[in-house]
Amino acid sequence: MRATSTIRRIALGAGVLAGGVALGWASTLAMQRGFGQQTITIGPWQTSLSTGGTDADMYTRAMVARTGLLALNRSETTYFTATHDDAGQPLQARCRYEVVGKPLSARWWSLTVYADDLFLLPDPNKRYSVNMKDATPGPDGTFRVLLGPERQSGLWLPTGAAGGFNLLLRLYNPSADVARDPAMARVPHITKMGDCR
Amino acid sequence: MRPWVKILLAVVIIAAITHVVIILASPYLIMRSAMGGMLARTGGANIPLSTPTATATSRAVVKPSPDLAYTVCVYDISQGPVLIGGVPSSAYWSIGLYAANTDNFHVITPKASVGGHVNVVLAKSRDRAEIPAWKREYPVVVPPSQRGIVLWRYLVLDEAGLVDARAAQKTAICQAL
Repeated sequence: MRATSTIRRIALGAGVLAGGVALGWASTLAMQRGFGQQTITIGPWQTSLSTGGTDADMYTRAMVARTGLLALNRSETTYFTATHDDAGQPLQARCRYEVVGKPLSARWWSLTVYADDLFLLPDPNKRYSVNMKDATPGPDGTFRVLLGPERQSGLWLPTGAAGGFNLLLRLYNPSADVARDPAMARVPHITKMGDCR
Repeated sequence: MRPWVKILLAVVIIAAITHVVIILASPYLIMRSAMGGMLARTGGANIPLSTPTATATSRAVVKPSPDLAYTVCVYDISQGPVLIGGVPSSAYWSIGLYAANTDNFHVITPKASVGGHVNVVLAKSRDRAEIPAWKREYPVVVPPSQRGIVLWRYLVLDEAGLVDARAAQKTAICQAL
């Protein structure tokens, strides 16, 4: 009887410990996905106000360590990430998208596609990114980048065959107004085109 | 207090402790892992390592930029000052200095160059007595941690830019004084 009671108490203690650790772990993942951080959202794009900076809070540091290690501070480079399109739907490798916008206010900018694991997607032609040199604006003053699993005419970046992907917009030496307030950046639109494969 | 309230309270307290420990420790642990990988390749601290532009097989750090060539170095000022420097390439170029907690505590740009070369001394304090006399005119930066990472970025636009970046990579200095 006494042994049974002891076993029950040990099991209960182990359950409480496991439940607490699991809950704590899950809450850290939720916080690192953006909850509670100082972020600015412009359409589908998000940027952290303190990425890389010495004023970063503990959540930003944890997020940077996991998803953007060795990022530069905001005055040197402003980073915008997108995991969804303008309609709020997750970016899917099997779908086609167009990214349309006006040239960004920075000394240099680039747009890179990353797989869900945050590394570059395999491509035999090493098409991983486009930059301000490639993305020349048309007569209406906007550039257009196409994303999708199959080659498209125009400026195209592959998105892989399956799963999701995400975009990273880097603004090196952003203009003073964007460095001060990233909400001033004229980030491009991300629009899904037609049906998915 | 009812037993189920005690259990719930215990779960919440353990969850809160777990949460804070993971959030506080993860930047240090991930940086330590990154530094460990770099040290394994360089053979020690204060030795620069230049890498080609990133590809889909690059796994050293998440979200590598395919438009940049990198040089990396793990700095260690525990035994004395360390000289960081290089000749800027003609396109975008910078040296980012990172503390053990991931903070980008300083960025060196071509504006800091003197005679076409950038030199900065990392030291525990601004006391120049421990810096060799012939380096004392260089700017001194005091890192928040004795160990961290130095990252040179060279923008590569085309083949000519790659040649330019590779030439600049050869001038990167990360050296104990």
